[in-house]
Amino acid sequence: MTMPFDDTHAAPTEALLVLYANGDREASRVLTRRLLPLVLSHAERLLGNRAEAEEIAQEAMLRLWKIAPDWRHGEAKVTTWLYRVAGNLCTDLLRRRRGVGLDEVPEPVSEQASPADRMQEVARASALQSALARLPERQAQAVILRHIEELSNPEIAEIMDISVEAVESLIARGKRALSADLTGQREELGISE
Amino acid sequence: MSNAPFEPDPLMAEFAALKQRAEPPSDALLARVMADADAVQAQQAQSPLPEARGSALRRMIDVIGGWPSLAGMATAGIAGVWIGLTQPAALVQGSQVLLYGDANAALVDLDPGFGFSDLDGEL
Repeated sequence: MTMPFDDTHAAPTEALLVLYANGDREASRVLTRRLLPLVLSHAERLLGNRAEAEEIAQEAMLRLWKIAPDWRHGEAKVTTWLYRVAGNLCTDLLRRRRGVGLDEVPEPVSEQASPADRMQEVARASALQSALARLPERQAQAVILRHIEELSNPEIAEIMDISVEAVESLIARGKRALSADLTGQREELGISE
Repeated sequence: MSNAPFEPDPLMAEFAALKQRAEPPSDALLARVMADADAVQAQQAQSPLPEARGSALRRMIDVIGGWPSLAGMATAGIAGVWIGLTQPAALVQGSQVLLYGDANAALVDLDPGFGFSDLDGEL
């Protein structure tokens, strides 16, 4: 079964998953382009490593393909489920290799900023990425979901399988630790507040 | 109520910088994920279709509202059988009154001033 191009591209994610389970090849293309960037960037922020993030993202998507025929509508959003799977995979990986350097991420280039601004931006992102890597995994995950992915606290609670109060506590503790960590780094790197 | 001025998040600049850092997936990764999707889809197409979720009994139970409703119906059924077998006295008496009537039950005192003593002379 196939749908016209425009209908498929505008379809809700859950509907696309049903189409995929029913044999629609185009649905998997649309789902991949819609979901892979989310899960990849989330994994990359948690891990600080592009190559590992790609492996995690591919594995999370593979699990989505496998679960598609059994997907139950209304139980969870597909994106919530994917964030949870990717988060768990990243946590497992981090626990296996905690302490390894995380500074191998390629630096992206912003076309609009001046070279000086660009350097500051790169320095800020690198400093935050390094500080996040030093946080406990759960605190880092909560902070990233809230302030980088911009999800709501109830949604984060669902992803992390904890209460909203626990999410708030993780974020508050995480941000306190990040602030303390970054204060010293800002001076070292010459970053203005 | 606090009149403290709004303080911007001191980490806002760092969060914004890291947000901008997101690189799109490479063509190679997109191709690998799509190949996985095709492989899983082909595998699922070969495996026999799973039976419609649940048996006929399961679907019937769902129609009446699931297991809690079935438990309620079972309790009502057992109570009916028990009442039928034991015939509680109050129920038997009540049903007899309803079916056959009862002289005592039909007595109505329309004149409270009238007493049996008034009939003494006549009896």
